[in-house]
Amino acid sequence: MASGFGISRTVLRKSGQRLNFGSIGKQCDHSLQVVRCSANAAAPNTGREPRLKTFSVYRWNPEGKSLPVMQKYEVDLDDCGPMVLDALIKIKNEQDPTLAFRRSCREGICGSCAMNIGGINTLACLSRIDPNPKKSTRIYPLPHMYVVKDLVPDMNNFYAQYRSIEPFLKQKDSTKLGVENYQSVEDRQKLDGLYECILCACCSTSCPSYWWSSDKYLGPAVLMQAYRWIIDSRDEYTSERLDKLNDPFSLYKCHTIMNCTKTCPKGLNPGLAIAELKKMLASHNSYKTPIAASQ
Amino acid sequence: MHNRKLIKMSLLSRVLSKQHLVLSNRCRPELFAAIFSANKSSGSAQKQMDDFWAKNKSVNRPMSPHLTVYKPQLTSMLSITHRATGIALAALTSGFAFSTLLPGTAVAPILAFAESLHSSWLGSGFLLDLKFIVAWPLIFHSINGLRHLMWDRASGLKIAEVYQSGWFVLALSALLAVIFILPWNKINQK
Repeated sequence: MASGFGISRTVLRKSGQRLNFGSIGKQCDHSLQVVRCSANAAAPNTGREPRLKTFSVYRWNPEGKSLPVMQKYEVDLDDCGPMVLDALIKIKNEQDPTLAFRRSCREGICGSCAMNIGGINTLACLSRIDPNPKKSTRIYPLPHMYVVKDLVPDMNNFYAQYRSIEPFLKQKDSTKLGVENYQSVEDRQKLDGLYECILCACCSTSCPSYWWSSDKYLGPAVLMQAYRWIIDSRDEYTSERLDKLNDPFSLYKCHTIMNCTKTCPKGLNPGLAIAELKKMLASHNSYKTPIAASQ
Repeated sequence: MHNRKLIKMSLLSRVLSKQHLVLSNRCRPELFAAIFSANKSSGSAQKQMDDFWAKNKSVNRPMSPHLTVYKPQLTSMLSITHRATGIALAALTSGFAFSTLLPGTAVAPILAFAESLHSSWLGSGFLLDLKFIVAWPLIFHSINGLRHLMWDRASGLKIAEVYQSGWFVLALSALLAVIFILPWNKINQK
């Protein structure tokens, strides 16, 4: 029984990791405050010592009346990829298939796996596991968001705010039809550092101001995209776009805390974009004509 | 032969209809908007937001943790210190100003109290600590205020610059606070 099963398991492991071992291994008891699930059932029989790392993950089940709990999982780092997402997928495959999280590209471009790892918001697929076995890696969903299940937050408010700034090219002059929108090299360079945003929401959910006012404050991600369309030389609705930010909350709830730029997993700078927006709005309100960003 | 003609015709009509859509987007934007509600996005974006709050308030979803889990960083810690020192200074200043309206408030008893502290068993070090506790918030808030003014000009907002200026403000405010509270009259006497 044991040896035959062991052999087949080793063979499967070499060919691919994406097998569901859900029925094998311990079932974890959700009634405990902190629960341990070990990887012993799936450990290879090569006699090598597993290099175990503990992951403490936020869990909440919408079915059932329980409160959120932290659940601990142990993962053999010698049998796992280097990133936190690799560990999460391994946990889901081998230990607990009920663990819910978003993921897609596994290369830091889609923005699905944004979560709070080790206290800061990053993409799980770009966050290297700290190999220190004495510390456990704490994984939470993005802060101050309604939780759908486990590590999955409700992103609909974020998307609605993005939609509200009208993130598309708008032109008034219909005689330009059939002609390309020429843009100089200098004007195109102004968009560098802005268009690369993947809308992962790491920055907005790291902002304490957005925590307290996410109904009215747009947040750094959306504001950076508002700036991206305002300074696009091809867009002709600059004045209207600036007018839309002219209230106490949408833009001006930014107090330059700068958690956003610190946490951006793509290395972008929303704080700087917002500061430029404030300058533009100041001259817009003074002269009632939009003045291009001074750079 | 007949099949190929049918396929060609269907492809052609599909291409033409696509071009027609593109044309209607560019040359008759109001028509396109009316059909596809593109320019009414603020109205329906608002509705999406209202639906979001309505749904989440009715379901018993928990709020993900924030203050208890987010790592304290120089960015957020200096920002909250700026806010806290600002509140403390405002309270102190207006409290002191208000106290002058009250009858019988004079400066002499406060000085006498400070002198008594100096000679008491707590020693002059305790007085210096108290003075530091009053002086440092004022000096930190002022210097960090200059940093904020620099940020308002969109200068020094790269994250490396934010950290450099942050440590600089902390060091400078501690240094200046120590310099300001030293008993210079007694030092110069020597």
